[in-house]
Amino acid sequence: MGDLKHESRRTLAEYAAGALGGREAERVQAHVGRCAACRAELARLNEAARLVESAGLESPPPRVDEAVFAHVAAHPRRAPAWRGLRLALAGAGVALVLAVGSWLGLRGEPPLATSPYDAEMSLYVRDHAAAEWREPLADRVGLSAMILAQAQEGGDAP
Amino acid sequence: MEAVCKEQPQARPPDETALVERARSGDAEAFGALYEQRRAQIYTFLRYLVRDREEAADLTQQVFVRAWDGLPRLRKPEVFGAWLHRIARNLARDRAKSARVRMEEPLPDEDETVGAGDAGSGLLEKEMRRQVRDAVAALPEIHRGAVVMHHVEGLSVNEIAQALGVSPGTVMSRLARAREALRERLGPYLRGEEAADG
Repeated sequence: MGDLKHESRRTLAEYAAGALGGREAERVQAHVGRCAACRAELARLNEAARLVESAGLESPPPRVDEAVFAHVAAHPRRAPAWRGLRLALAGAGVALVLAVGSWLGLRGEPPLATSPYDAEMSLYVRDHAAAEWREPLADRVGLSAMILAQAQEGGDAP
Repeated sequence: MEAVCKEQPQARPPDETALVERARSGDAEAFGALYEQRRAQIYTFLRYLVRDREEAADLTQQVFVRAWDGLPRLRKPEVFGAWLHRIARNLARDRAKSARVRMEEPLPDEDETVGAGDAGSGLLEKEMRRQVRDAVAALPEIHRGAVVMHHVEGLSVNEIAQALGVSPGTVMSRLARAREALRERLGPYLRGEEAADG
């Protein structure tokens, strides 16, 4: 019975254009395989598209070529200046961050060590503070983990 | 059984991205190569949008002038073709607004009239081409653009989606509606039409 009901032209056009989803496309494909009328209609839909394709491309008149090339010749262009400026600004920014980071790292003296363990940790924290300035996202997690570990061990210490 | 419409091969030549990079840096020769590759596509696209040959030529010129001037602002060289089509479409729309001509009501295609000297298959071929043009011209503008880019220029669905700023699904849906309308309009020229109706 299902084969007696033809697919609509719209559904066949959607199938032809690849606009149907997988299951729907399979259903239409199966129907078209069995229904000569729908197969003929699908062929006409595809032929209409082929007629348009056969129209082909056209070239513009020569005056367009001349005008475009004349414009290009009259408006030479170097690599955009803003790109160089952007690179320079980025370089200056990186240099500034490094300078500030180094300054903070040198200035931030560790507190007086009361034990070899404290001295080691203070140096570690100082170094990471500088590293964090240089690469905030890269070192923050490691630093936090170390501070937590230090706090835990400090709490356990006599 | 007829095969469904498949994704057509990319119309963009493989080295176009490199040419765009060079042209963006001011290489006029590279831009010339890009122009050679794309000029027929853009002109044909505009011919279907505005129909008048001289206007299409003027707009084609403007597209490439704008492309040269605007290339430094093109961030992704790989979408150069879609970008050109977008410029062309915008120019055609501006022209339609300024001329108070709706793109859905194109100008008569005066240069496609059949000449008195034509005979036989040449005349039929010309008449057929005119009918095809009229059928495409009768499509709504959003369908027409997709049809020309896909069926005439051979652009892929994805490239058209980029040019029109819509999803690939929308492009396929427009192509389906357009195909339905074209089949309706070109019915008398399609093989087996009479047999099917009988």
